[in-house]
Amino acid sequence: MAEDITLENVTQEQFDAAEAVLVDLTRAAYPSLDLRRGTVLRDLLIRPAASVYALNTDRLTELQNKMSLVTLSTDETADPSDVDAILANFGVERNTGNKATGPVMVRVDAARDYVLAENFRFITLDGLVFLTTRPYTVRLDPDTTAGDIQLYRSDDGTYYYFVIDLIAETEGAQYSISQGTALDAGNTLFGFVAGEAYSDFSGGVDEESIQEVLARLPAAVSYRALESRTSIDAKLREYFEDTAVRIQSISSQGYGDRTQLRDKHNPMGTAVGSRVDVYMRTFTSPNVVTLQKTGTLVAPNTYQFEIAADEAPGFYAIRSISEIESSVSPELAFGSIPAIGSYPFLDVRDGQDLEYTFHDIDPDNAVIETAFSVFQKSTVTVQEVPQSTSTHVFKVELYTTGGLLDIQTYLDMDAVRNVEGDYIARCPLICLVGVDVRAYYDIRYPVDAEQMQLNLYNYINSRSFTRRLTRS
Amino acid sequence: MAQHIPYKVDYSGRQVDIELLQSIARPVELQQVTVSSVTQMAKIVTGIQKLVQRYASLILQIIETTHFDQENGSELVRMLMAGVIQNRGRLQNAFAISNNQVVRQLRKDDAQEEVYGTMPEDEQLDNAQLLDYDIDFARSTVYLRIRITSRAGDSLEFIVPTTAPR
Repeated sequence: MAEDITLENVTQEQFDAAEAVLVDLTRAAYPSLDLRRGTVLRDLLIRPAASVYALNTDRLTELQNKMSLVTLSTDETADPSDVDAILANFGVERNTGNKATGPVMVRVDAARDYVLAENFRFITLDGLVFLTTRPYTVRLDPDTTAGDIQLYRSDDGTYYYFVIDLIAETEGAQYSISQGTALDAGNTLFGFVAGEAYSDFSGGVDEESIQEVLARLPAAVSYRALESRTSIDAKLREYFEDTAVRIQSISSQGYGDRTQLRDKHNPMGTAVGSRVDVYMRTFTSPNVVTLQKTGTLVAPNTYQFEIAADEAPGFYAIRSISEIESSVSPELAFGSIPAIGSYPFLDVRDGQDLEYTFHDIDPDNAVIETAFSVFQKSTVTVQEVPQSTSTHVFKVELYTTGGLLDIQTYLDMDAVRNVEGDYIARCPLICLVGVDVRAYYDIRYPVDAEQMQLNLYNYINSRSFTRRLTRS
Repeated sequence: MAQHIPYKVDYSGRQVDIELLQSIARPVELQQVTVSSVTQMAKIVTGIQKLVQRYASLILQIIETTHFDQENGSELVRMLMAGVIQNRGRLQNAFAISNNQVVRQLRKDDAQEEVYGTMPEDEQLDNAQLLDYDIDFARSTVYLRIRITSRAGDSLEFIVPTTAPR
């Protein structure tokens, strides 16, 4: 703030400049005044005024800088609260980041009850801290009505394990750790052997930079109603600011767009408008939701289970299906889903509860028209499972966009939705990219491989919605 | 030593300052000047009186104590207050150092003609000479009698009033 600037902040150069200006101005008006060093006029008239003038000039410069988002964006020492103050003039708030969440598999040495308090700490080797969000009681015979967690015995019987949810201690993308990342217990847990990320952690978002705010400012200051693409963007961002749903980008498909099929439900197949599909990207890297599903044996070595609409709302794809204690860690197999290490499976989508919704969805074309929405369910057939027991528990990982159900609920509110409109929120179609880089460099100038990876990662994830994929 | 003020000088068009040493202009042979603050009865000075006033102000100002003007002043009062002047010889030496500092600053400003215009010769310092000096340890005072000579050739003597606490 300007009042923080004192004379101690004024430099000699600033004072000299102010003094020269005052001498010039005073002498222009009163040329008979002698203002040289040592004169009384200089000491009484010029010097105190120059101090104040320099101080005010400094304050004005700082104020001027703080009034411009462009200037602030180039100032690495800028105070984020100054940015927020300007954005408040437009009724806009900067996203302050989001905490990553994910499950941890904790290995323990014996079959006994384990109790973890709320905010029990787990720490990675890099020092990232994660906390439990509630107290957990882990038992071999859990009382699920009381929220107890199941303690499992490993296949070879050498250890026991359980899976609980964690949340990052602070906001930031660096907390989106990969599956298999080692986690040590930060508090005492008797019998603790080891911990690891059971699935990729997701939802960690850095504080929004000034450049990012500038990019979305046109939408943020626009008219807020579910009408134009810009105003839909603005209204949704405004509502979900400071919530766990961090909207990164939105693509609205409506009247005249080739991907809009729901407005052609008439004998002529003519588009009539008023149907909008809102694709929401609420992640920088795709969220991974991990489910434990019990499959029923439907054929030798083949199990089947259903993923209901509310279990992973609008999920895009199944990343892997594996044994419950497995870690399918390779990120990508260059274009192949499922990931290496997964059982082969068949994923058949369909609509769910269409009779209870007012949304215009053709039941005969439900697979397409409910795709990646909260009205989608899936029947999954898992093949080549070694066991043939009547039921089998699987670990299922799915790529999703977080908060889709919340967004659909908001769009359906009577006070929000356009009375002439029909809006369905959908998970965007994700292009999963694997990059294999071989860098040749002079040994005197080593390459920062981690930074290179991060730059590639950030570049790819910043592409967002594109009409056509290119090789570059 | 008597002051040497010409009887007739045309001061019209001169740059003026406010009178700080209120007794300089009195046409007496020897005058102990007093430094006073500006009052409602402030007068203006110019010519050699202004030169003497600037000199006195600078030599009494402790160097490196003025915010944003560390070169302003001299070492004289600092040395007096630090108690390093134990005899007349040291006092003479202190004056020589301080006088050199003041003369350098005056000439630096006097040379800025593009800002202040050409300076009349009776306002430009030619030299400052220590005529007499003494230390009164009983009263914690020093006595400096200085003759300021301008480039016009006129000169004026004054006594610097200082008290050096020990």
